[in-house]
Order: sequence, then structure tokens, then C-alpha cells
Amino acid sequence: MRRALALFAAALAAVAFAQAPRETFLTDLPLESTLGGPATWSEVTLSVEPGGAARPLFLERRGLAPVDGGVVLRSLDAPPPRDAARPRHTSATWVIDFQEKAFAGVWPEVAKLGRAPTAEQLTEFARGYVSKKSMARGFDLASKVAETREGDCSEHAVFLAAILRHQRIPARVLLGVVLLNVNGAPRAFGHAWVEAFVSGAWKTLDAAIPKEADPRYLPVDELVDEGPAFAGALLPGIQALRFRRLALAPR
Amino acid sequence: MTAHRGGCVGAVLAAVWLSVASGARADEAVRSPDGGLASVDQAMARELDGPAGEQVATVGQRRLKLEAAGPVRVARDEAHRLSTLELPLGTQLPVQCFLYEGPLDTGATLARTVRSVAGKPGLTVASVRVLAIELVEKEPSLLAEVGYLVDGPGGKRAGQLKLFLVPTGPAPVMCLHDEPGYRKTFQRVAAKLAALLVRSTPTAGPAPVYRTLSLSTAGPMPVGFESSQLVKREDGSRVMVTLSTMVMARSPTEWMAQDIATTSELDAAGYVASRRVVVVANGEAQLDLTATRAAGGRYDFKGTASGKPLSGSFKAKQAKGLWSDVLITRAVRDELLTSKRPTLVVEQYEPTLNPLAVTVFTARRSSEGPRRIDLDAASLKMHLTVDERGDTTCNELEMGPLTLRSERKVVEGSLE
Repeated sequence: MRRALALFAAALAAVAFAQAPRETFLTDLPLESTLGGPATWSEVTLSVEPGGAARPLFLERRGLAPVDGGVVLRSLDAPPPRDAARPRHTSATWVIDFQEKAFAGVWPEVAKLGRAPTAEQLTEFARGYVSKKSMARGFDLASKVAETREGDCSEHAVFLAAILRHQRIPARVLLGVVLLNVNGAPRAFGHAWVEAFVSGAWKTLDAAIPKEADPRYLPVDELVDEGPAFAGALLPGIQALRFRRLALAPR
Repeated sequence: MTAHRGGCVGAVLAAVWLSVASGARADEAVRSPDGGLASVDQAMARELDGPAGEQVATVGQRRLKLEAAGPVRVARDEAHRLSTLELPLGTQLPVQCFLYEGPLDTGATLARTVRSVAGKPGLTVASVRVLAIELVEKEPSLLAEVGYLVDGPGGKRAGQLKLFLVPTGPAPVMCLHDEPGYRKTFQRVAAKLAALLVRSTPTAGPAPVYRTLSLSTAGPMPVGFESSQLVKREDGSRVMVTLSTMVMARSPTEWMAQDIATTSELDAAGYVASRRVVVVANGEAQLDLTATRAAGGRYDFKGTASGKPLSGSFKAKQAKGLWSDVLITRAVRDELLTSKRPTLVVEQYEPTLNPLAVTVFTARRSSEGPRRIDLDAASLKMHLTVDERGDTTCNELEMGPLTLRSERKVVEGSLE
């Protein structure tokens, strides 16, 4: 049991979900591909073998169960989840702390978007507000992001969730895998993003990666514990990224 | 605490950069006869053909035989309570070393180094790398480099700042060399100096009755180290101090450098009377919490987490309180390894995981070997190897696509 601290420190430092380049060994997930060349997501099938006791959230979201330890996703376009929004999805919390003074300078800027900005408008606002795209942050609270305007995808996500909740739009932070085409080749990365409850369904919002990049998302965990113990609560989700296999093939 | 020493180091580094960082030097260093870009790789790969030479330098009361191509300049900076050495290599710039009187925050030092480079007009950080984490005379050392680009008359030119650090032990030292290439030469010169300093400097304060040092890797990459020592005071009380450093690459130009200092005061029976944990990431305070035992196994904690004040109480299952490492190691040896118990459940206060309550560790003997243990904590699964005393020699944790591993390299004395 001794010396667990060193590994915990590393594990916490590894909370590095982001749109990272290949050199970043922490977030670049191994992705096999038998595609002959560039392909659109509608032309591919994704095979997933969850690792260990991981119970990726995307299985539930798609009503899928593992077969022989593996899952084949014929479509990467999942219908939006429709589970009910809960009071915690609109609350100020330790992590999504939009009641803090650090947001005082944010609200006048949000007000410029109009009386009832849409979730998409707020996403674009968050994208621009977090002006310094940096991987040097761990997993900052929303108020810290409001102050520093700096961070990677997790900082974009908590800040976006904060301004959504402030506008009384239910929001939650998800952790998992994002698939992207990078220079014509499909790649998989650890990532964090937001779902907002709009018109009776949870809509995927991402302030870090623009829609033009055509991302596809596989959630493995939701940030449920938004209290002071959030860092430890994140670790199982990160461990769930230990997929045995992620593989793309022609459909 | 080590976290409070950063300001001094920051000031020192700022001063270093005023005198060292210079685009012209990088410019000249990478210029080939024909000015072609191929010279950058050549400049980065060059080394001295052999030792630079040997010089004797007097540092305080010590006379040190050092590798240097010419006289070593020694100066004393009373304001920062450090000594500086300049060791010429026979290249454009000497190696500069700073000898401190107390331990350094490794993470904060690295973060400030990068910020110092990035903050210079016309300078852009191009890469950061931890090249090695090794032992120097049973102390941890870290070799890192910051590659940068500097605006010059003919466009951008490459520069390379190398940093060697022995942050703890009797003679903390940091060396810098701001010139492309000479990586191995620099490491050799700096490590030799550090080893001489450690050997010739008496340890301040009471000698620990137990000391251990482990090095950590993530996959094939060196990422950190952790040292623990148990000190017995004259009044019979004991204190366990653990310093943990982790430097993880987050992108080609950014790293997350985290220092954790944990101080546990033990009562005579080996239970934790108080435990303070300080976490500093990239030089920025993240957490500083102290849990103090009250009555009946209750602990009151107070401090800050994520920059916010935090206080409260939690209760340990045992009325005497939380087990220290002394009791845990004993229980592993006497009960788990002897199969008196199939599992061992231990509570510890790890505020980095949960600042509000204890974290429960459940250890089981593994089928992989007589001294292999499977450990569950906070939904994490780890695999431990212990020695005949029940003390951990290796700890492995799988996180996403990589395996984090902490391996003991030094153990001295006994926890008993």
C-alpha cells in the first residue's frame, strides 16, 4: 500500500483529455484501421472491446451489450439520449461553480448574446472565451477557467457546463473517446465534452473541437461527483479508457 | 514546506535568464558553414570528444575536483542563500550551477524554466522533454531540455536549454546549459558535480531511521520519483515525510509537473496523529490540507483545495485512528503474507483522491506469486510486489492505454 501516492499523482496528472497531437502519449488511444484510405464516418464500422471491468457509457446510450467481450458499432451516429435531466444538472457545484465571483466579468459578455442564448451560441462563446488553448492545466474548476481563460478540453467542458447551467439549461460533463480524421487518417483521443438537455434530449456540445472537424463521440463516464472529491471520482473513468481494442473497418 | 520555497527559485531563474538566454548564441550555434538547416541536427547531436579537463574549485569548505575546460568561477549569493558555479566546457557557454541550502520543488522549477523561456521576446518554446530520471548517490536526479526558436536576422533559429536537477538530499543543485548539443557531456559534468556535493555534504538534522526512494515510469518514459523517510525525534515521536514528484508530458511543448509533500506525525503506537498534504502543480498551489486526530477516531481537516477553503471532519473505523505506514507494513508482513488473513482493509487519508473522507484500501494476496498483492483503492486496481518485511518494492497501475509503475531503488534502515 505504501508508495501508492506516487501512482495516484501520476494518475491525476494523467487526467489529460484533449485534442492532443500524436506525440502526447497520454491521450492518443491506439486505433486499428483496415480502411484503404480516407473515409467518412458513415462508411465505417467500429469494433470495440472494453477492457477489464470497464462499463463504457456508450453501451448504455446505444442500448448495446457486449458480445464475446466485443461490440460492433455499425453507425457512429447514435440517437441522442433522452434520460431525464435532474436538479444537479442545473446546480452550481464545487466544480461547475458559476456562482463564484470569477464569473462576474463573464456574464456581461454572455448578455451580449441576447436574452436567451441558445446552447450552440454558448458553445461558440465558450470556445472563444477560453482563448489560450493549453495542455498545462490539470482539471480546473469552472471559476478558475473564467479567471485564466486557459485550458484543454476538460477546462472547455466545465466552463461551458457552467454558463449553460447559469442560463438554466441542464448540462453535464462527459468523459470518453473522440474519433477524428487527422490529415485523412482516423485517430482516437481521450476527451471531455458536454451534453445539454434541449427539447427533451441530450445534445452533444463541444467547445474544444469545432463541428467542422466532424468528431464522433464514445462516452465512457459522466462527471457525477462534482464535489471536492471529483478528482478521485474521475479515475475509474480514465481507467475505463483501457480498451482492449478499438478498430475501424469498411462498412 | 517545499511549496513555499518556489518564490526564491523563481527569482533566481529570472536572474539566470537575464544573463543566459540570448538569441544570438542559439543563432551562432546552429549556423553551418553554408547556413543550411542541416546544421540544426548536427548541432543538437554534437558532444565533446572526451572529458573537458579537470579543475579544482573551492566551494565553501570543500575542494572539489570537477570536469571543466578552464577555471571554475564560484560566487556566493547571500540574498538567495545559494552558491553559483560556472564550469566552462570549451564550448560557447559554460554550464551554470546553483547550489541550494534547502530542497527544491521540481515541478515548480521546471514550470518556471519553461515560462522563463516562453516569456523572452522573440523566443518560442518548441519542445519540452524529460530525458532521464536516475539516481545520483542515492538521490533522485532529473535531466530535461527545453527546445526553443528565437527570431534572428535570417529567420528563426533553434536553441536548446538543458536542465539537470537534484532537488533533495543534503546538497540540492540545479545546472543549466543554454547551447544546442552536448547533452551527454552536460549530464556527465552536472552529475559528477552533484555526486561530489552529496558525498561531501553532511545531512542536516536527525538522521532518518528509515529511508526509501522509488522511481516512476509511464510505459517506457521516466515520469517521476518519490522519497520517504521516517525520523525519530529525541522525545520519541516519529514523523514520516514523503516527497513525490511527477512530470507528465501533456503535449510536445507542455508538461504537468506536480509536487506532493506529505507529512505524517505518528503517535508512539504508530497511529497517525496528524497528516498534512501539499500539492503544487506547475508551481501553482492545488491543495494544502491538514487532518488532525481529535477523539474516538475522528479527524478534523482544514486548509484549501482547488484554491477554495475547505474544512470538515471524518471518522476512522478504529478509535485509535488511521494506521501509519509502520503499522500497514507490519500487517502486510505478519498477516497477509502469512495468510493469517485473506484480505487486509486499511483506511488512509489521501486528500488528492478524496479530501472529505478516508480512502479505503483493500489488499489481497495475488495468485501471481507469494509476494504479489492486488490492491483496490477508489475503484482503482493496482498490483504490488513486497519484500519479506512487507514493504512495497514495486507498484503498478494501469491507466487508459499506459501502465504507471513505481519501483523502489533505495531502501535504508527499518520502519520498526
